[in-house]
Amino acid sequence: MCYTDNKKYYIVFPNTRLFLKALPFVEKSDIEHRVVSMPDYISDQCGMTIEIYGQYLSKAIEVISAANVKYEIKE
Amino acid sequence: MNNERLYFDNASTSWPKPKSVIRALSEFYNSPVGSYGRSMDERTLKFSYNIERLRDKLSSMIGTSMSENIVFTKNATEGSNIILNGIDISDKNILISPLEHNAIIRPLYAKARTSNANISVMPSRKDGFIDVEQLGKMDLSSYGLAIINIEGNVNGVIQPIEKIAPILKRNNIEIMLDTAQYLDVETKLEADKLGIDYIILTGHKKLMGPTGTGAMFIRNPSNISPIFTGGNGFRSSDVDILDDMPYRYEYGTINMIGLNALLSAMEDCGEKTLRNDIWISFIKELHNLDCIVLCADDEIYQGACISFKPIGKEVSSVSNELYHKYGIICRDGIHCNPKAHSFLGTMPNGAIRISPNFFFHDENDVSYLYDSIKYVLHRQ
Repeated sequence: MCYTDNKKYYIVFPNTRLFLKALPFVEKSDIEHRVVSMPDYISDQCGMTIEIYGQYLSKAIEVISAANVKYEIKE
Repeated sequence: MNNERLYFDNASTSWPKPKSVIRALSEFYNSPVGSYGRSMDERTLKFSYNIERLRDKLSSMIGTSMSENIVFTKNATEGSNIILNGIDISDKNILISPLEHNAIIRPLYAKARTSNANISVMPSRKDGFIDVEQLGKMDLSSYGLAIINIEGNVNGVIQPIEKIAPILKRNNIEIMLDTAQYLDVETKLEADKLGIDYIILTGHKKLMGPTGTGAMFIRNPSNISPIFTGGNGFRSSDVDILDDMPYRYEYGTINMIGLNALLSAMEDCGEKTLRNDIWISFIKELHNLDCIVLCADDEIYQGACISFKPIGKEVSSVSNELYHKYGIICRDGIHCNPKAHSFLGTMPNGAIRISPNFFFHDENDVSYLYDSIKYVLHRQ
């Protein structure tokens, strides 16, 4: 999949534990990111997600793989 | 003797707690902090992440790769109630050890009465140590669940779970362990290897955390119907109970301050200061005094508490004198465990329990304790 460099993407996790497990991997990698509330247009449910620009997404996916958690990429 | 060194009731609640615990508790509310997983600020995320670190740490300690199946509770008793109220034991035969605490007995008997379940006690030696050979000879085909208090809270007997579990699993019996008295930071269980199905634990005893912290492990959540439910902070518009673990059983705002302090305790509880051989010598010497000592017959299976029953003196009067004359804080009575005291022959008045803190007490403390007991028992 090709990600547009300056577009925002959201890494969405099935539950809080998986989000919390993945977050330190992103933080430790110095990838520019923000923790944000789940955007309304993605889901009307509560919860948090990791917002990231396309240029960093491949690297983020690489480091999150090490956390061995399920996730989805949403635009 | 400094009064602070005379607290020997660690089987109830351990003291002193590591300094890191005091710090974690006192600093927690110095700055804004929200509920687990509910706020995006750095501090709430940090403390929420710590909860997951604690879950993983406990998972490693009990020997399971299913960390998400560790659910936080307020203590072992709450875990026992959730499991035993949620499990289907209709028409089942259930085995228990002879030393089960009321944390198990009361919810189990209440459930058994409404489920037509039968409860039997496993064969054991006179100290309550399960007789593995006899157990292996039993026809266990009709049993569905076995519950074992892995370290007794009256005489400190540690059960040989590595020998018991294979016998039970060969007969497809589910195993539930009460580890409230057993787990410390140096203890390892092998839940996955032994096929343990349920574990209950508490944070405020040998894990050195604050009261109100505990956890349970449930291997197969489909076997346990949740008895409590509520908000989890995600997928909130679903009205049904979530199947995701641990959230199937973990609801509402969990004990963030307590669980963060428990993590601090487990990461920084220091080195043991009381050697086991000193403890075993103390127990041996106690046998020379005018009392009946409740302990493990085999010192290899002796845990961190023992009890003694005075000969020719009342339990309560000896306990009162130990405190009021010598400052010794211990616990007399039946220790919420009438089953164990009945089995050990110390009903109705029970005994006096001694439980040092192995991360605090030393040889001198135990020596003072012994002398105090000796003076009280032998004083005319």
